[in-house]
Amino acid sequence: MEIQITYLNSVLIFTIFALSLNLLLGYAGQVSVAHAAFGAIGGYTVGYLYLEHDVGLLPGLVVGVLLSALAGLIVGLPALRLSTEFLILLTLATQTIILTLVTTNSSLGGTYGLQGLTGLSVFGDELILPSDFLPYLFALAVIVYLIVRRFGESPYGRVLRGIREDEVVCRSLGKNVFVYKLTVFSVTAAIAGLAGVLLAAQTQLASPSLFSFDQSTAIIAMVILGGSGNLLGSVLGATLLVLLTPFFQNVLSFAPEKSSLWRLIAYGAVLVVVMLVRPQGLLPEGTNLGTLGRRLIRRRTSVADDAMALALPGQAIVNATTTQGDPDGDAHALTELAHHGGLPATEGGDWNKDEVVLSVVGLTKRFGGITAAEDLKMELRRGRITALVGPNGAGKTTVFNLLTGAIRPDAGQITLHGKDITGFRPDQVANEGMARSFQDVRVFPRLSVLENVMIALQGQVGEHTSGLFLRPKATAQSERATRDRAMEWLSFVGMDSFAEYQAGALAFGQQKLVALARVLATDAEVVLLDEPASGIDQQWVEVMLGLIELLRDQGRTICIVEHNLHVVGRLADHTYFMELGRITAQGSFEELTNESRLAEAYFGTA
Amino acid sequence: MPSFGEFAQFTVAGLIAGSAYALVGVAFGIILSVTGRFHFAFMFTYAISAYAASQVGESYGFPFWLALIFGALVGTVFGVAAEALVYRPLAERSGVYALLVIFVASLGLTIVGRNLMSLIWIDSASKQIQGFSNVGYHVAGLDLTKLGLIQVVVAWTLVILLGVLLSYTALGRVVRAVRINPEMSLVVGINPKIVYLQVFAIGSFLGGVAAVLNATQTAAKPDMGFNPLFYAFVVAFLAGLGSHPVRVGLVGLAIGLVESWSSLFMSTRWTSLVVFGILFVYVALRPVNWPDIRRRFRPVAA
Amino acid sequence: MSDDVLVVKDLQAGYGKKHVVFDVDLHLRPGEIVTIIGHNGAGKTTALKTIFGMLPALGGTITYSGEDVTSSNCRHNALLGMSYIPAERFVFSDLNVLDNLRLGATHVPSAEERDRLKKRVYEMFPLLFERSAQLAGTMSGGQQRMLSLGIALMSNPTMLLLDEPSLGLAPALVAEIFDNVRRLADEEGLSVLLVEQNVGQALRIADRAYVLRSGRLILEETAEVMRRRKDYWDLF
Repeated sequence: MEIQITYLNSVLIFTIFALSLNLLLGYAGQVSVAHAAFGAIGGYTVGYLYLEHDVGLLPGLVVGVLLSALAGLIVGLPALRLSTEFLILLTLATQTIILTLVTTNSSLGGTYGLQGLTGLSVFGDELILPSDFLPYLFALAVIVYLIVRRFGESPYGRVLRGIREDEVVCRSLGKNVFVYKLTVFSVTAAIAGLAGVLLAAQTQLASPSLFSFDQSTAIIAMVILGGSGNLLGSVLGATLLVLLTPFFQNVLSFAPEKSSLWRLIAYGAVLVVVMLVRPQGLLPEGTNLGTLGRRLIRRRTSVADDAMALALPGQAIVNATTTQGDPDGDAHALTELAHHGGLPATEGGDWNKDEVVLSVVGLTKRFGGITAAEDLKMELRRGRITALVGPNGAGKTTVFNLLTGAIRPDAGQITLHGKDITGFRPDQVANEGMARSFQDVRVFPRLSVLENVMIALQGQVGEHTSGLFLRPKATAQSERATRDRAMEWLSFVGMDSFAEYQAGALAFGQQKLVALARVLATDAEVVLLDEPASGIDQQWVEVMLGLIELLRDQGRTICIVEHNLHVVGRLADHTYFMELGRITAQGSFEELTNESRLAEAYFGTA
Repeated sequence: MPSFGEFAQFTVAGLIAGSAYALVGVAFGIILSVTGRFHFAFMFTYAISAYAASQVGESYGFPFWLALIFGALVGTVFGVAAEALVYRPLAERSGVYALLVIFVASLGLTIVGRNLMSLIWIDSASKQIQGFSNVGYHVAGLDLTKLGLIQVVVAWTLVILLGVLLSYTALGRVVRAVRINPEMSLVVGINPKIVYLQVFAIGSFLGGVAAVLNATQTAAKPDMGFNPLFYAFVVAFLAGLGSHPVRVGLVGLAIGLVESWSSLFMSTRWTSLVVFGILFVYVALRPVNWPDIRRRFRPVAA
Repeated sequence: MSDDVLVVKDLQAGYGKKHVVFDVDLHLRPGEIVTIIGHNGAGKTTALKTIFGMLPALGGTITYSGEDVTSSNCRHNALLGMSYIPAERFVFSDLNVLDNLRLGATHVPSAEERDRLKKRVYEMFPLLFERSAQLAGTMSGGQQRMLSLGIALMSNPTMLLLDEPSLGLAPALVAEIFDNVRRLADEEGLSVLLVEQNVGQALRIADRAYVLRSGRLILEETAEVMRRRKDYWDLF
């Protein structure tokens, strides 16, 4: 019986390893091959403190977990700005460095490690037999599962998944990506450290082979097999792969040496086969027995569904625009939705009399020898649509990047609501009330349409660890409100019936509408739309234009970059003409198109 | 303080080791820079070359040089197979996620390969390369070996040959074209799929040669590819992906010298730490040039 | 018309999830220069790439010299005599001029033929001969553009698909490139399909023009008629 329990203990310990790696890799999208190395920190700390300094298991565990958390932080810092390939290299170096350190250190037992971790006890309870460990391991596994689930299946987890999908967009929606990444590296390293402590205690030794690169690979295999982004999957993956050992030894009756080799071969084969055949793993993200109805994300592939996928959300928009004057029902909700303090702009009127919401002075940016923006001066006024036009290379995209903080200006000042936001990070700019859409749309493909919009809402209690863990009721309440609001925005753009679809499965025009709902949901006063009419057919352009005009009439401050001059002519209240990084003209679209010099600049001369 | 004699001896050791690093750095680098595949399984094609060379010398009495070429060819077959059977299908169906998916699959291939080797040769902890008898020389107060000289000469010959191939032959031109401008290479009618296979063949062959020479010095072990792979990473990235082979080689040489000299002052167990520490620091501190990196790592539309 | 070099009917094109070209019909006669103009993002480059075979057509037909090439890839089309010059990154910057030209002749089977083509390119563009050992990336924008024309000529094409040759060029150099294109059409009998933002220059050398807006063809006119317009704001 004790032998079986040993395996059960192993399953529980590796479940803890796998759950934490899943949070890092599956949810946050950070590839790490160093997970077992963080376990080594935990295991060796406990072993060393116990053997050399007679420190008990519990205090040793605490120290080990804290040291692992610290190590996670140290690795997380450089990892913040690394792309996948370099993150792999960094964690590879980390795994090797930590293992080399423990192997070469004689006080840590060298290649054989710290042996004879016997006589450990918890609360006076001596841990001798595997069955002594079982209740504690089980309890810890459950606690870790609950903690990891709280992180992953929550508003916080939604942000992590957003970071996984598209970090840059996440930042532009107001999320401080650095803090999330550092936290997740630290927390998952700490949990791995805990698992390492437990592994060392259970095996009664802390050795390099327990925490080797092979072990890190095994944990990756458990996460990948079970399902990246699925916590039950990690439990399943850990169970299946740990039980391979008794399977090979007892069922197939291999000799122990052969069986451990076959087990490793199986781990490797799992990785290759899963990638080739079913990359999402056994339990794909989002499939959870307990929450099947709520979190189900459907992938539409059948013909009938394709028809729906291409359908125009016409009716919702028509209702929205025609009932605007109606004091009841939809109109009320819509005006509530779009109300931003202050009065909606008057029809026509003098652009110069409207309130300046965003003001830019002397904005300059050079890249090497090229001047992308030179001494720009522009204003965005409340309730008006301002357009940026200009030939190729004029610098229009650079302007958006400068305004939203994606690049730092060399000179100049950006003022929003009278506050100087020059040099602010993109997430800070979004928090101050300016948000942008992207020309290539960039919805979060593996999140649902609804989640795409929910993530954009500001001030969610559950997006911060303090709220998430210390204020569960407020979090739940905030989440309900967020969901309702997000649904309202989806209704506004007419995509509410697609709420549970995976955003990546939608047609491009539909994704554009979802992205619009997403940027509007930030409640940003100033909305920068990058080529809202590009890449879509006429009918969709009409829908987009209708929505943008509706927003303008409801008082939003909008700036668009557009190449389709027909669209500019229709939408723009004021237009800036840019050439080679400078604003060379401004005024109404009619005024600009009457200037022959601008025509020459735009169309070239014969 | 080490004496001059000691210093010179360690320099020689560093040059020999550095030449090996040069060869694997160039081999791995050309695969990564042209195809963008994170070919972790280089570790395996490296090791299997040594095993094949050893086995064929043992079972069929192949002379040393023939065994070396045979071993390198075996590694080549596996490398090309990895690209044709695993990486390419994955790249075609994974779109933007290709890099990660290919890395995971490559990791899996490595684990499978390495442990299959252990299983097949379960009765021998390590294998010797047959047919080579080493000779020692004493020249100008330094201890040299025939093997050491061969390692340096072979490594640098291959590095220089690769440089010549890339700069002066039609094949080399096509390979460089695919690396420099994947879209334009499609436009002029190059078939990138075939070029990828050719590059995997070249890289795997060079790696295999390095492996057999390494195993001649020590022995063939299942894990023998681990360190060389990491050294290859360090060398390839420090030199810059897409650099001329000789430049990559010189970086490898420098790493070998740094490692050897540092063992004058610390235990050899710590010297590998120095190298990995360099990798860690390099990755952590290198300036970020997104468009360049993205361009280098985006595989050609398959 | 049966002697058309290129006939495109009802073309649907796009990439990834985007469908950006809708119901486009166009044709090209031998020795003609036809330009496609329109705003950025109108689908001009997508249409060009689809004709060349770099992107799969989502619908419609493409016929080249009477042969259906709708589902051909660019290697096949290059063999048939199509040549494409992208708008950006149109040379191999780390290779010298000679290597660039040699790559253009990837499909040319015989060494003599390659040599003949190379001499022809050098005759037409003596500057390329002078700088044959220079790295393409170190040349000026105008010189690189010239090189791109040379690379295209090395495959001995019958049709040239040119994407925004004026992009990034100083105005003075733009005229020179366009003159060279006209020369190629006149002297070598090349048919040219030219995508351009610089309407003025394009119309100077073109015979006919198509206007694309938001993926749809909104106008087809002879260049002569189009030149008489006051401006083109309403077309973009």
